[in-house]
Amino acid sequence: MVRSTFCGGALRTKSFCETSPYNPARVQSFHEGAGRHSTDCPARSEDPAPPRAKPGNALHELSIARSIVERAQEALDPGQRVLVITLQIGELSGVVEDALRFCFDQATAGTPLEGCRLEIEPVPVSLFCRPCQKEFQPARSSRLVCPDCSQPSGELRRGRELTILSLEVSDETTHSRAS
Amino acid sequence: MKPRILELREGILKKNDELARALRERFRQAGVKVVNLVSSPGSGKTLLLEATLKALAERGKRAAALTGDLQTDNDARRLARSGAPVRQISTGGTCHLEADMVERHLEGWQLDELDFLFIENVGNLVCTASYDLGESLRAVLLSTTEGEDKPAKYPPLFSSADAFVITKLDLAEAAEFDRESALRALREIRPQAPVFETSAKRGLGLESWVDYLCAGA
Repeated sequence: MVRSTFCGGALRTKSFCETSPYNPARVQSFHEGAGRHSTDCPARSEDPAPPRAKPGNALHELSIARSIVERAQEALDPGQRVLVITLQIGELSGVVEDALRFCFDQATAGTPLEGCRLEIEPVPVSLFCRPCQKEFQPARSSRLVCPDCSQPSGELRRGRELTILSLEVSDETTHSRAS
Repeated sequence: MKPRILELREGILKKNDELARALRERFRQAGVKVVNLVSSPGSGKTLLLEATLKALAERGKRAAALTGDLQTDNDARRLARSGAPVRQISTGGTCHLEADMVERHLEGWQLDELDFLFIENVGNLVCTASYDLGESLRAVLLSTTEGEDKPAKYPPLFSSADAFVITKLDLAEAAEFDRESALRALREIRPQAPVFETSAKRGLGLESWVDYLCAGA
């Protein structure tokens, strides 16, 4: 027995998901593209490229925090500082708010974001139930099942957000001229 | 000081996502199907990939592989035994692969001469969820030895899968693997993803898996 049945008992023999909430383009690209045969290519393990040194990124949220700082800095004019940064973090984004807050100070140290307030809008998971024709929020993110009809849904509408919404910035140059 | 608001409304991983989109288009134009294999460390990605590469070669399909680890090129050496072109991505410390790492390691390969490109991600059920690599298919592995509740414990990754591969079927009995629970957990986190039950070591379930890859559907 190497295949299993899903979706109310229907055997899915052609089952690349028709809708991929994570990335619709990914499904499309698997269906397209003709297979090709080609001439033999010698088999070898090619030399590894030099390791990409990125110290301290082993904690996922530190890497995320650094990406946030990098992007925020790009949006700033010289002399500007960030007072408040507002993020949206979805329940299924893979990022944990507490861990992100923990890493944020380290990531912002010595940058125009140092000392800024971090505001986070959490986004709960919301799915669409086809049989019921309506959106629902599951009781927990590990069981994406409609509370009314108990059918699992793979149609995510909200919950994967990982977004910088806005920056509240101060214009330091005005301040320094006045002092 | 005049505070003002800059509205950005932009993905934190925008750079990665944009690069992944560009890669996806490049892969599509080259006609190569790209598979991102993700799982916890030790679930059997490398062995499954070895067996998959071998099976594809027997069917006359051209495949190549990128394999990611923090250190060593052990996996690349193993995979190269299959005869396929293989490159090791040594992250040096980063716990997941990102689109720019994939792009860098494609240099010199003729993508339009490939039917398949496999990307064996770093063993990690957390961070790998967030990084689009431009893949056509994200296959998440679950071994019979790691517990039926893994899907419930790691919703972001499992809910992003296009297909699931249960590995180490030969150890299911010894591990007292609760197959029904596992299938239910997978169904409840991602109902549309098919499940393939395999043992790469014993050659079980591989034909269905490779059929699926070759059909693209």
